[in-house]
Amino acid sequence: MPTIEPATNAAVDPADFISALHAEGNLPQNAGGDPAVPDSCFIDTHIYQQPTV
Amino acid sequence: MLRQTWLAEGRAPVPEDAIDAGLWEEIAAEAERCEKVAVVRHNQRPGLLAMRDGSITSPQRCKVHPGSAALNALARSKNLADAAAEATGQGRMTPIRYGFKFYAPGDYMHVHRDDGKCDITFSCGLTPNLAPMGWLPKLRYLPTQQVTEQLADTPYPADGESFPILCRHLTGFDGRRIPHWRTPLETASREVLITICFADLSA
Repeated sequence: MPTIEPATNAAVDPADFISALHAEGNLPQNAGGDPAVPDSCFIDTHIYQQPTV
Repeated sequence: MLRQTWLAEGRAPVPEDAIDAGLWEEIAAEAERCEKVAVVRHNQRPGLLAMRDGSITSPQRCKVHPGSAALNALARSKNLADAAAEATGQGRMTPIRYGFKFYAPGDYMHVHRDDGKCDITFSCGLTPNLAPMGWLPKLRYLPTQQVTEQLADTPYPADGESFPILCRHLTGFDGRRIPHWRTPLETASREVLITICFADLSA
């Protein structure tokens, strides 16, 4: 029977990355992909200002 | 037809008459208002990061705003949901992420894969001078880790292909699977991109 190697684990925990971004106030709180696109989740923790005029 | 194009190419051009011309006018006016309070998104963390949802995050710079009533009406329009459902073959398509992206000259987005919960991503311009979207459809079904390794040093892969970003004419694409990017904006004008992601809530 051949030995099956386990899959390689990611070197970075994405949760740490997201936490760091939140701390810097740079990105919304959703996980991956294009973090700039506003997410309808988490609206309670990230409020965009609406135009007044 | 949308279904065939989706399966074969990972794209789904929305019929041009699916969205009312009057709504586009309202959205354009809304974008002007929202730009004043848009938020800078400048992720400077170098390299690609494979996320647990299968997406890939990368450096980018632009300004964003989720819009107001007009963009919300576009995201919730039945015709767009129907196009999303027809292309993906899924039933209850709901917009979950959407907004205006304001690109100033030089703004960019490195190669990435969209949020893993997005079954289809729609994009179009609100202004006429956006460059085509770069993408690598041949990597559509390659595992995330392999994509990050293969593209680690190529923010804008030279062997990439592209599809046009048309003004006020949405195109759907398989953004969570197909790596895609925006090269730095070369125009002297600022440009506005709309992005709307749908998920099937019944899945």
